[in-house]
Amino acid sequence: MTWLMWRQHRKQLLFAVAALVVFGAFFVGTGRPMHDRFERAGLPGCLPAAREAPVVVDLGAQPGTPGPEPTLPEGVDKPPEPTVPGVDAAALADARCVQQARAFYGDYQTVPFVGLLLLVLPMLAGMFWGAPLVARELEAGTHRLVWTQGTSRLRWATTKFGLVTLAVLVLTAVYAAMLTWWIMPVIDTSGQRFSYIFFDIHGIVVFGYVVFALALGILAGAVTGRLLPAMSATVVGFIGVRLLVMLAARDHYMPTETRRTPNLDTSFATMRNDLNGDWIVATGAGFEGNSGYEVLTIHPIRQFWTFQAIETAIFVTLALGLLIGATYWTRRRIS
Amino acid sequence: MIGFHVSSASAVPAYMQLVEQVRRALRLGRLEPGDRLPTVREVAAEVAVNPNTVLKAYRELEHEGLVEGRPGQGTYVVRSLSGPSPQTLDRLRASLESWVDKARADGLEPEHIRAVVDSTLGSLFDVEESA
Amino acid sequence: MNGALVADGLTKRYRKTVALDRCSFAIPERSIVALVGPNGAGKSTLLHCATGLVRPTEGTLTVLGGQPGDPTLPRVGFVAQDAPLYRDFTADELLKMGGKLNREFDLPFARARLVDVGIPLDRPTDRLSGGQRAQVALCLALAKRPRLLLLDEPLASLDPLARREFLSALMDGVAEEHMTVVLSSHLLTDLERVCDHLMVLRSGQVQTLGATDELLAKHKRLIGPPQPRRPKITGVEQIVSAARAERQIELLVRTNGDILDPAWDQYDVSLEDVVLAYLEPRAGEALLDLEVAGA
Repeated sequence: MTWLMWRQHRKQLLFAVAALVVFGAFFVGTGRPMHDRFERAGLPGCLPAAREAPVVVDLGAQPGTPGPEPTLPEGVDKPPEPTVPGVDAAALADARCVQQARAFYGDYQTVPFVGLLLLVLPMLAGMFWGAPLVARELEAGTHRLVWTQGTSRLRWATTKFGLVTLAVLVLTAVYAAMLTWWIMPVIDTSGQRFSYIFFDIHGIVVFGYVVFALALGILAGAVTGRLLPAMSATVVGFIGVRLLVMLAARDHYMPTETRRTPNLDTSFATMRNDLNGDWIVATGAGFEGNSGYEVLTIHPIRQFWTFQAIETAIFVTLALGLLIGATYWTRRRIS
Repeated sequence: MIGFHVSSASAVPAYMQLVEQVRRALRLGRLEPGDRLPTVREVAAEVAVNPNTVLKAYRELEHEGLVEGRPGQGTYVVRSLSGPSPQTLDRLRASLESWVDKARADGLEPEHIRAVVDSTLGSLFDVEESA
Repeated sequence: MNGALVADGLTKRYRKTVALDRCSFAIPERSIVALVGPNGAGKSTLLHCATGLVRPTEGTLTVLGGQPGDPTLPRVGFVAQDAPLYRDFTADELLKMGGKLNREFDLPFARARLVDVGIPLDRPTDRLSGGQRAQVALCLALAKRPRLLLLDEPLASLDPLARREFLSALMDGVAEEHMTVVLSSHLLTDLERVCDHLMVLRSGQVQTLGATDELLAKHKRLIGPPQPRRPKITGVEQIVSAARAERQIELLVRTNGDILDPAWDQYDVSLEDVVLAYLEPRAGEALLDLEVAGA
């Protein structure tokens, strides 16, 4: 049966590998310069510390302070850092880092839009590799050939679904690795790791989305027996469930925490440090004496991987259920 | 070798058609004692007919004593159908041809010729039987 | 009941239609059966039940003494309607698939057969003619050395030459093996020469099943004077169909003895006459139930 699966789907596999190569070329081609710039701006070094500070000095608002430092070409020494009265060196370093990060991010505004397109990829996997698996056999009538040989339908279904899922997971792993490498600088400087686009396209959740879309496509194909309705059902189902989980469920994976920003020293302007990547669910404000503070309801950044794990688990569980359903339906299906 | 054929349109059962074809081949000298008939499988495949039909034909021929089935070897012709020698046939055919030419010259169509032959055959053989 | 394919009250209901209606029959082993009936009669459904593609709603179907589907498929060869094949596979690749999916599969035999019939083994099947595709499908089924071979309308889309070649190949494959064959068709003429049994299916019900010799011997055409009501004739088991002309009525009957009544002229019938008689709606019989007005 393995040979049969390979022979039937080798074109699709080769196409997928070719697509991966194209993606790879794109990621490496645009990613190298981006990573170079990221490193030359000193960001890998200063960001970990800068992210910890809840509040930073707003260098742009200080009178007489220079604007963001231009990134210098290699080999040229940096001039000595100017100082701001009343601000210690560490805080100043953080503030400069934030400034650099913002400048970097500002130059790569298009990346989130690319991310928007990449959101669609798992759904395409479901439409073009999941839906045809059973639907095309039924439409062409070849199920009457292959289900009347000496191999049971159960074995056919489990081998076919299993092998395709495996292949897709391997391809997804390569893709996810490339993508995460490519996009990390932008995510690091955006402070929006939890955002609706960034969260969904990097990390491990993409595995969950892909197997879910695949399983949805397979089941739709088995139930409708026709390719186009199966593809439509996959689109509708995928978008519906994704939106539901994203908008209604994701917020509740772990309890929120409250953080109160420290009272501001009004001798110089400060701003909230958005780089830390916390997911801000709600904000409140207060006054104490003559200084104001903020009270934030957040999912702190350290919850990020737990969230990814939970969302992946949700979609993988759904996928398993759909695959079992598809196997059952294929077995019981009338000709 | 003889070529078999079966016509679905004929009122004669398929197996009888095959029997007749073997008999005709024997009469015309195309099959002689000692010849091996094609296997049931070969005939069934060549004619696209049920193997049982061929079996039935061979059994009928065996019943008439014309052929004999030898286990492991095949079905063999064991008797010829009494008939004239090839030379006699040639002689008779030649005189028949000249008679037919005369009939045509006298203006007879093939149907007329056939009718004359049939009625002559009929009356001649009938007379012999009743005599 | 014993037989290669035995049904008892076999019924298949879909939401709005009844495809098979309480069918009971026993197809004897080593027979070659013509399964004849109009479109929608249930022929395909019957064959699909025998191969496990369809599960009956009620009743039982025994295939070679076992359950249809996985338990018996290794001994059952099947060619579905229009001989479906993977269109981008070559014949060689299809045979390879057969070898991988079946425990018993005579690959060299299958390959030799295709070469004999002149089919290129390395051409994708969508570049073969319809007749060649049918041959490949038949070959795939025969390579399993099945004890039961089921063919769903195998000649339907073939030209006359391809039909003859298919039947030749089929007879060649059947002759050496101890095989039961069921071929379905809505045309009897194609199948007459190869079948020794006939089963007529109409509206999901078995109208008749029997050896062709017996059917021809047991059915007669009777012509006689118009009757005021359904006649009872000694020797007639059932009036299958009837037609009325001005001065006579014509009956096609199934006999269970000799018919000695001098009022009726008897004639032999052809197999096609028998099939037609069982397929006609019973309007003819209704004729006989009417009183003849003013007779």
